[in-house]
This record gives sequence, C-alpha cells and structure tokens, in this order.
Amino acid sequence: MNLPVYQTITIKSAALEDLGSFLHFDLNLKHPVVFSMKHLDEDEQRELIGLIENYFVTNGISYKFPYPVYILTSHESTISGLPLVKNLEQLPKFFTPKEGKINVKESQLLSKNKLLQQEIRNGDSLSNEIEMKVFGKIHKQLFVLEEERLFYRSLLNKLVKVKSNG
Amino acid sequence: MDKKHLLKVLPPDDLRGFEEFVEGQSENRFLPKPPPGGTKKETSFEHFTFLTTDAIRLSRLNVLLNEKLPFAAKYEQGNWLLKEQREEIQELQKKLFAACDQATSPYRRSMQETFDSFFDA
Repeated sequence: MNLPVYQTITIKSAALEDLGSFLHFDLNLKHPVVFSMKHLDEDEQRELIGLIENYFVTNGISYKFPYPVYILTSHESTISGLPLVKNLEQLPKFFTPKEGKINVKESQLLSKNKLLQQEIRNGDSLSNEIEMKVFGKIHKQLFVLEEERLFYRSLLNKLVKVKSNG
Repeated sequence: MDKKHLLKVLPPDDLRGFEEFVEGQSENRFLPKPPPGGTKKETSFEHFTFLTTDAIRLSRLNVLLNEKLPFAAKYEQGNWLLKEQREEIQELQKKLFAACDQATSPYRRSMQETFDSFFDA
C-alpha cells in the first residue's frame, strides 16, 4: 500500500486513446492526482482540460473527493471548474510526497482509511455538489443581509442615543 | 566459541594438546553485546501523523457528504432565514425613516444647520 500523496500523470499527446488509458473510475480514490500537460500546445491543453472535466461530469465522479484532481497547465484557472495550477508550488503542501517506507502500524491505519475512501466514493457526488453550491449561495446572501441589518441597527441605536441625550 | 565455554563444555582429556589454542581464545565474543534496553530504531512520526490527519479529513468529509448535506437538503431552512432577514431589514428601515422624519430629529437638525450655513443671509 502506498501513501496518499500526489501521483503525477504526464499526458504525452492530446489523443483520446492516451487519455482513455489514464481516466478510470478509481482515479482519485486512493491518492490525489496531478495531470501534467504544460509541455503541450495551449489549444491541446484546453481541449484536454475540457475532456477531463467532461469525463468526471458524465460519469458522476467527483474530482474533489475523496482526493482532489489537479491539472498542471499554462492556462488561467477561470477556464474550467477543475482546479488548474501553473506550477507544482501552487499545489497544497499536505499531499507532497514523503520519503521512507511505511511500517505495520501505518499500514493498518492506511487500510482503515481505505474504508472511508470507499464510503465517500459511494455517495451521490452530483447531488452533493449541487447541494453544496445551493447551501453556499444562500449563506452568502444571508451574510450580506446580516451586514446590512447590523448597519441599520447601529444607525438606529446612535439616533436613539442622541435623542435621549437631547 | 569463547574460552570459558570451551573449558566448561569439553572434558579435560579432549582439551589435551589444545591448551595453547584455548589460551589464545579471546574473552570477547565475536559480536558485541547489545546495549541494555535494546537498540532504538530511528523513527519519525511523519507518516503516522500524515495518515492520522488524512483519516480525520476523510471522516469529516464522510460526515459532511453522507450525513450533513442530505439532512440540509431535506430540511432546508436557508430560504426561510432569508425571508426573515429581509423582513427585519424592512422593519429597521421603517423605524429609521420614522426617526429621521421628525422635526426634532438629529438628522433634520443637522441638515437644517448645513443649509442655513449656505443659504441664510
């Protein structure tokens, strides 16, 4: 068993056959994945990003859970829903590869994590994603309204205070 | 085999002729004795800590995705909270306007002073 650290996949060409060999259901089940495509043309990169995103959406697999999928590209992060990075330093440090072998105790812990990974994968990722977006949007609106309410409340308190002081 | 062990195990007749060899045997064993308490392995807990943190991360994710989100979806209260919040804001706005609209209100007095300073003779 291996530690859940970044597994880097270098895509050699924009051919569908190449991509098909990398993309599978358990891609991000046990470790985070980084697709490296910086050496390709910008057009090819854009096409590949679209294909990878489409794969996750059409198969109902989450690219965020249990482990995230990143794309190392020269494009801006706004062109896709997938997390895009321009260099490896932008990746979260938590999953950086670690040296040394794992011992028995660590191996046991790893097999316990396996159950959790499977449980997360078994959830309905598409509905969860929608639910999270809705929840986030509503609570953002609530935050804005709460700020407005506090402003009015502070104004009213000041007015009342001035009035009572004459 | 060391000297003490040879003298103890073998009968004296067998040792005859080998006295010089036995005398030449070192008291020390071939391998040094391990220090008391055994050798300590150099272990850093980097992997263990990492895996424990990952386990916590995964279990929290699991609770969020499989318990909290379905519950939040079933008993949605966000829209109701938004409605309540909007109503309260409207109420506060009404009170504010009422307070500012009085002839003796600080707002009107302040405005009066400003206008008087500009337009009064």
